[in-house]
Amino acid sequence: MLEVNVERMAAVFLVSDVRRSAEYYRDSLGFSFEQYWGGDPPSLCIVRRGMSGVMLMRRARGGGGAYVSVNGETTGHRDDSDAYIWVSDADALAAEVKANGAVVSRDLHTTFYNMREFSVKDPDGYRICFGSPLNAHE
Amino acid sequence: MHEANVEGMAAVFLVSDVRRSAEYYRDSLGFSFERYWGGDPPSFCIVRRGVSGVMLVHHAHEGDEADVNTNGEATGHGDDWDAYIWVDDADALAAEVRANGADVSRDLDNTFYDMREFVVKDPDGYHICFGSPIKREGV
Repeated sequence: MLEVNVERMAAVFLVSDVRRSAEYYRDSLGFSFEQYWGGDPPSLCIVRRGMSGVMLMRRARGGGGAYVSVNGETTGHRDDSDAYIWVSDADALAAEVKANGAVVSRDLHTTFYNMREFSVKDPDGYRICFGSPLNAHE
Repeated sequence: MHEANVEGMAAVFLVSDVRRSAEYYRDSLGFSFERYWGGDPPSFCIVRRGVSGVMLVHHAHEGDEADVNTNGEATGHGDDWDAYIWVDDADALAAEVRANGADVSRDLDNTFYDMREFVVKDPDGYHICFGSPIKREGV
């Protein structure tokens, strides 16, 4: 039997405003998207950058608003990540997203496990950590 | 300035038992991992299959059970997805993971948006949807 190939992936984030989130991922983080789904306001958008992505999903809650399920709110550690994306050059990406207005919640640093990392926060408070192996910079 | 290339991705799941989850992803879903982190019982493990992955994180408050944060529990729709993984052959993958004991919570079906999909549930109730585009003859 042929081995099944994984082509790409998306984390699924419950967001309060799909359009606001999609524009943030596009304008500040360099993701792209093709369309909104589910009417106006939209209930779903898939944003992607290369093989990484986020499905932005709106689930309305009774009494108004929408569900959000940020890991950091569950644990009480606001900096906890909701997704991790490995990139070839974290320094270059940090410079790029900073120039485009991304909210950098943890600045570039070198970890004890030999990664170069930084984290960004999205409009609902989801944290994405971007990292590249240190040896890529040698 | 050169473009930063994306090489892999992981969703981060808060789980109640890192070892149990890592073994499920390995034995039933065909992921692999290199090591556990954070003592015994471990608090962290990265499982990967190709460019996709899951970071399994154990976080417990003193005296309490570990935090779990599935989308389905947040919304009350128990089968809401927590991650989506695009593969080249959902049928083959479904056969593979089923043979390996995966908990298939939604069987293979064709969606209105032309994907062939199925969903598996992990030990904490996280749902991962696997999908591949339906290939249409003559297109």
